[in-house]
Amino acid sequence: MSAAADTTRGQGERKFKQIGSRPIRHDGLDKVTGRARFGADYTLPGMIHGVFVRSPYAHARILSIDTSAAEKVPGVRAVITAEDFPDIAMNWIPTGPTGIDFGANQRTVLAREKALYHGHAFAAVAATSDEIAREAGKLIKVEWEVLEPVLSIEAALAPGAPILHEGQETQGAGDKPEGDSNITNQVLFEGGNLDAGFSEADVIVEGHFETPMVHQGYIEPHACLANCREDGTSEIWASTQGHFNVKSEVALITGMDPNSIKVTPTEIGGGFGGKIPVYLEPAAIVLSRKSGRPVKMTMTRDEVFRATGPTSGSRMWARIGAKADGTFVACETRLEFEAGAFRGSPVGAACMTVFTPYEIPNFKILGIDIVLNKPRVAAYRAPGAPIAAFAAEQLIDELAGKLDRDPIDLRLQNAIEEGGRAKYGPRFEAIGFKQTLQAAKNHPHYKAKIGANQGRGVAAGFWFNAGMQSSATVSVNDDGSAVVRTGNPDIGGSRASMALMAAEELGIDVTRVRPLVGDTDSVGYCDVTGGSRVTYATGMAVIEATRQVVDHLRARAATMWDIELDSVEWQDGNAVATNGDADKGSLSIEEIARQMRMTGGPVVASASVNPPAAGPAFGVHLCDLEVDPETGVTRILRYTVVQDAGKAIHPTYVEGQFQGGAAQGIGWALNEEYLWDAEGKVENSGFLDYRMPVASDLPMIDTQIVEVANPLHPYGVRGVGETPIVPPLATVANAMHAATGVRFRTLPMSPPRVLDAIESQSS
Amino acid sequence: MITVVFSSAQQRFTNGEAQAEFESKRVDDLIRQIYARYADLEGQLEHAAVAVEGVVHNDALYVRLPPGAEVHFVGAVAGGSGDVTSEPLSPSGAPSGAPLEAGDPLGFAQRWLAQGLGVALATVVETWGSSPCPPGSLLAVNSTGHFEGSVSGGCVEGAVIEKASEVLSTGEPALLEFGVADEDAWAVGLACGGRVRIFVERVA
Repeated sequence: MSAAADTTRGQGERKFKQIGSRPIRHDGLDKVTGRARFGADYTLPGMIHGVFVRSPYAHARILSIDTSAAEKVPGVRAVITAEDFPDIAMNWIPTGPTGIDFGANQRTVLAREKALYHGHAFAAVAATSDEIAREAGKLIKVEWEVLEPVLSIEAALAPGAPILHEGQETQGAGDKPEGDSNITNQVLFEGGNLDAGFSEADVIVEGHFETPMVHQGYIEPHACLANCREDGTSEIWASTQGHFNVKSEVALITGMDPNSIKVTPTEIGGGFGGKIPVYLEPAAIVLSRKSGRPVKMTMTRDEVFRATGPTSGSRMWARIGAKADGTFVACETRLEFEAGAFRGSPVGAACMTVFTPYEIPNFKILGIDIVLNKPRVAAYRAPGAPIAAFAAEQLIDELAGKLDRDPIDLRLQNAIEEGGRAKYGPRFEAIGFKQTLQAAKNHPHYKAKIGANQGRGVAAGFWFNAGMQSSATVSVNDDGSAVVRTGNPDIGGSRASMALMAAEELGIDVTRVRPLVGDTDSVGYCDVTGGSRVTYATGMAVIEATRQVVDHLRARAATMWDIELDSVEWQDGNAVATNGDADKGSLSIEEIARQMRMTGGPVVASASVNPPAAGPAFGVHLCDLEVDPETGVTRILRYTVVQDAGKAIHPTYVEGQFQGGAAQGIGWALNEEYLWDAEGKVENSGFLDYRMPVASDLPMIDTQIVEVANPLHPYGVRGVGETPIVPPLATVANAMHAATGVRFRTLPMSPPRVLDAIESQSS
Repeated sequence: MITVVFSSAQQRFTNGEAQAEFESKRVDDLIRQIYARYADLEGQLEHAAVAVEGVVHNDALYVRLPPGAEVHFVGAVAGGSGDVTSEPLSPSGAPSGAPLEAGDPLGFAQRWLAQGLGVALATVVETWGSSPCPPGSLLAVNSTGHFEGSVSGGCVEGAVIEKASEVLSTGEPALLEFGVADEDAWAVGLACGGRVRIFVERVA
């Protein structure tokens, strides 16, 4: 922490030369030519293929597993079950920034006592071909005790419901059920006086809302290659959002020594939070240890849908009251979130974000984490916040209607600003919510005319943005160019942002800086690429390391000139002599670099940080859409994202985050949902049946970057990656209401549901 | 002087005190002092994220406290699941006072009747195919338009509620039927395909 202390405060207005420019990303050429190597592209001599064998039941106790027939199949080199791992008890530990349960993480890789969802892996087979491994898997004999599956929140909470985890009692706040329960945790925030607050209200709106489980839908399925060598050391190549996380999780789940494991991140084809957990790597390394061969494991799309991180389905109730003049006085929620098979839905974050953008003095926010026989949820871009905003921002839209107010004006009247208190306690530092609302209101989109069967919606949202640990190393080449090494897999263009920040400090062109993502042995520790933290936190480490490099370069210039260090300033990539030595003139970074061997050897510096959370980013979205009253099909006509970025380092990639979040959110709003059969089997585990938006479904998404500097970052950066998915669900729902007169409180707003609603309305 | 503001959940361990003042220069020392004053909080704050003057630190033990700072111990949210872990466990016998919970339409119907409101009840009486709510599922609607319960998971609630308000005013019960027959609906692979019959009646 202390290392970050001097860099965590802003520098006021600063003229940037590199920051804010739009260079082509360094990995761009390899990606568009197909040369970039993703998780499934790695091979080693002698490599064999590992596959999981998955449960045909959503809820079943494993009485015994007999792998002997599978092991005898020619070509099979290893078969593993939970018995090949140390027996780690399930235990939720609140450690560091979030809680963790290594017993649950291990059981997510391979089921131990019970299969908890259809497709839950219970064994893995490695063979000389993928086909042999799959066929051998079918010969594994399991004695199952099939149990009644729990497939909805209603069923999970029903009296006498089957319990997923025996001995699991409800933790957290509020009134809780007695004894074992499928409610794992409750979150409660209260303030003011709820009854008094609502009695002050002239208008109260309330509603029940439901959202289905949806998947992140990253294009690249999970993939890894693992090699456990004769000396006990291991190498893993993985498509992951955090290779340091893979290293520590693999060590804990398998019982291996973490120092024996090196993890190299491959290029990654999307993650959105879903590539933070480990699914393949612990199994692959144990298969490799048992077979003595390198083992590659890749998932099919079907497996990705059935057994990797979706985000929660939800059932919510919320109400809000306002005075006739528009002042919000009270709000209340009960947010019930599906966690899937193990504790850990994002309901806590949902509680921390729902209604938080507004000053509401009296509130009761209750959130409930519920386990059921569906895949275990993983983080998904601003986890929980889009779901919560779907309820809150629709109710605010409804309030605006009842009060006959412009929906942006009503939000402006109640918007939280610097010094305002979040519902979860602390006061906000400088935030840009009002500025963002005002920018949306002034946008030409908001004033454009709309036609018949069309509607315009507006909604807002925010995300906290994480800080966490990062390190960076910067070195100078002998031609005056530089290399920046960090440990964060580049998902959203972060290599370009790191290079821009180093270039800015060095005073050289960004094309002279090469950014690298190093493996776990070659760079200092970095927490995962997630929480919208990399440009902020890792960027801070890059800036700090580069400033040290600049100090070294000044010292080398002082040596060359034989003057005092204090007499050397750094300006635009040159050492400039000052004070009494101004007659020495200046030395360029190239001239200093060429002499490095004479002045003390290579110039290298590293820095590490663990800064506080990154300063929340607020966004406001506008959507125009048209509903075909004959078919119920919705077409998005125009969509605009306005968001505070603090300071946009690479504006194209900031805009890309805005557009990507909006596109994902529109899909969630209009089409995406898991469909289940009565036994809990996913019925639409492919992109043909699980309909995500493609380019032809959407207009070009317009963006406007607002810049209200984050006082915690030297350039004012805020995280930008997650906020853009928070407002779209409610934005589209509000536009649907404007177009059809129907309030859609259940997602997705798919054509059959829309048609039904329109027809029932007119009949 | 440092002011610690306690969340509503934490106040169950502080004899209801919403905030307290301490002389402290660092978070670890502050936590020791809090435990000395409120023994029931022992062990619950080390892993919390700590907001000092609105800046949230995830790993806060050695963070310095400027004089006059306001401090909160909050559930941390990282890039991970967003599960809030640091809410203290509730002691037994905590006061309840909670409203009726969602999922109890009959309870709400009873309360509304007691308040003198008109109440209509919609009941799923028959389903075909994959309809989300089984026969017997209830939706209660009152004369102010508030409703509780579900007959379809939201697909047809709007229409049922509208019909319910008609039933409330006329007193005539109604049998409604909803379904999806549109072949086009399958083009996006999301039609639920079910049909459902719902009986709507006024209750007194």
